[in-house]
Amino acid sequence: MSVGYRLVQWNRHKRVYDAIAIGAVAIYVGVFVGGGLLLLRGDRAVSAPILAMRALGTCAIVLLHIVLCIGPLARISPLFAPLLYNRRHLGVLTFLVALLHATLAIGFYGAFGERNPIAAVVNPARSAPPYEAFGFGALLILFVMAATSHDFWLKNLSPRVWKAIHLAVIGAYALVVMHVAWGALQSEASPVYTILLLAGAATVCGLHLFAGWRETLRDLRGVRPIDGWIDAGPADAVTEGRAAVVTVHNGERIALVRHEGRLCAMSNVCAHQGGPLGEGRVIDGCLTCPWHGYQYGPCSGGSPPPFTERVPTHRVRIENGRAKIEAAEGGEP
Amino acid sequence: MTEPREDRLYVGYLPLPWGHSRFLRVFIPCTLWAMALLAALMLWSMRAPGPTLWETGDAREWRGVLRERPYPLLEADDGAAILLVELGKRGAQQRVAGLDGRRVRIRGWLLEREGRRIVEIDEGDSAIEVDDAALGAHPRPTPRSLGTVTLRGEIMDAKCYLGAMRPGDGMGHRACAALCVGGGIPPMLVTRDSAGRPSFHLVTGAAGEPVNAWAAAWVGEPVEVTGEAIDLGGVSALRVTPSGVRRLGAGQ
Repeated sequence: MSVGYRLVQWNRHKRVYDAIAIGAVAIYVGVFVGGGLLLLRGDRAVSAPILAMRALGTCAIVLLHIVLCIGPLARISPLFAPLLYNRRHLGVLTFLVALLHATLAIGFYGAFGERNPIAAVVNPARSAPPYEAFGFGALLILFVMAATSHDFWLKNLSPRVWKAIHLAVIGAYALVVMHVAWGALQSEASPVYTILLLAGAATVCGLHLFAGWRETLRDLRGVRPIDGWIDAGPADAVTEGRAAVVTVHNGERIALVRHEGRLCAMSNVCAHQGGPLGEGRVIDGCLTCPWHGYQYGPCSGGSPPPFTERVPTHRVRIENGRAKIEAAEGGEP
Repeated sequence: MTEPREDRLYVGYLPLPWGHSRFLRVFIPCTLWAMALLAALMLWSMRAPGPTLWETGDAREWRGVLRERPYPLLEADDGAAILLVELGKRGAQQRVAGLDGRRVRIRGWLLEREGRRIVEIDEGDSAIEVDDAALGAHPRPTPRSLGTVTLRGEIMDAKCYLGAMRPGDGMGHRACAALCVGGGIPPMLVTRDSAGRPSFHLVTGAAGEPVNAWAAAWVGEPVEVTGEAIDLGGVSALRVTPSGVRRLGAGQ
């Protein structure tokens, strides 16, 4: 985290992450275009710009699937947390690959004619489903997401607005599916593309539903406050330097953390991107979010100076060996 | 070796925990291999664009009688009927204006598919020259009606389908085809018999006039066309009104 804004707060993990992501794109496009130029000859030969257009378009779709799967995978297993850490860069890369696909489509299909190339491709004056416009709409959403992906916008738009904007990726995904279903699938004879599209959609939807179902079950097991206090279980269940998530019956979640022998409680929602603080641990005397490493004083709820992020705290008391958390926010911890 | 539980938390700016490292050393190569295989599978599953030719290099010449309507066409001396278009996505209507029935020499590049030919005319005034040795108009062959027919196929822009793009048909190419046909490239209904052999039919209006304006709305998808089949002398045409075109679902 930072008190100022830099284009990218680089560290080793981000460099490795980006190098692997760019390498994956290079491998995919290289196999597609290189293989196409070398192996597809005679009647099977495809124009090189169309080959590149298809390589980039399908690559962007594969990347979008990966981006959409990372969230639920990280909820299901913390082993996927490193993929979540720099997901925004993967999202920006997805946009750039999709932009190259669109640029080639507009430059090859829309150019050399009497009309504006973008209008010629996006609005070819037909009454049938405008699959090109679906793709263009998805690209615009990805652009807005990429342009607002920086923490500057997260801070200035507020996490709530920022998250709402970035949930539009669901709309982008739906538009991409429509783009393919009313586009390529209409003229490609092989069932491979239909099977892959359905398998991809089933994977994305299945993972989100499974992760959501687990969260819902957790919410249903939420503890109901008695006289304004929540029974968080045995006090010694939370070991030194560790935290636990306590779910209240209304769905609210509280992070219960032990630091230097003392139990403290704060909102489970990280001020950065809503990460689950109770799934983090104490590092350098601060409860550290497992998503992006934002830190908070375990009992104050405030980030260490010079940072200014803060999450609400709750009072905690020990009663007959059980930790009790005050349901109301803001009390002395 | 089992790590203490508290060391398993991944934090982006701290060293990668051993358990995560072990997992990623397997997961990332598997993902990269999966992407490469996926690319190969998608590539190999693409349909074949078919046999087309687009001559490149130096332009060459054809001689014959030029016809302006319904679409610019050369009745070549070797008996072939060759459609004529401009560079890019434009028809040759303006270039050949006033030359109907004249003998000409035309310089350009040939595109050909399964017996149907089209020439992309070179730039410059010298690309079309009236043959001075044979001045005078040549009478247009009388169009011969073959009766009303209903055909199923796809309306293509003749230039891309005959070789300018591979593939130059289908939904993916629809915007380009609409631009081409809207720009004056002849719209051509392509049908195939049960053995896959193609038939090419220029799409014209009920009076034999060009119909680029409305035909552009029907390109790139399966259609059923009902109209009067006409033999223009080496070229088949369909005289159609917009109400004679019906959109079909994919695969029909």
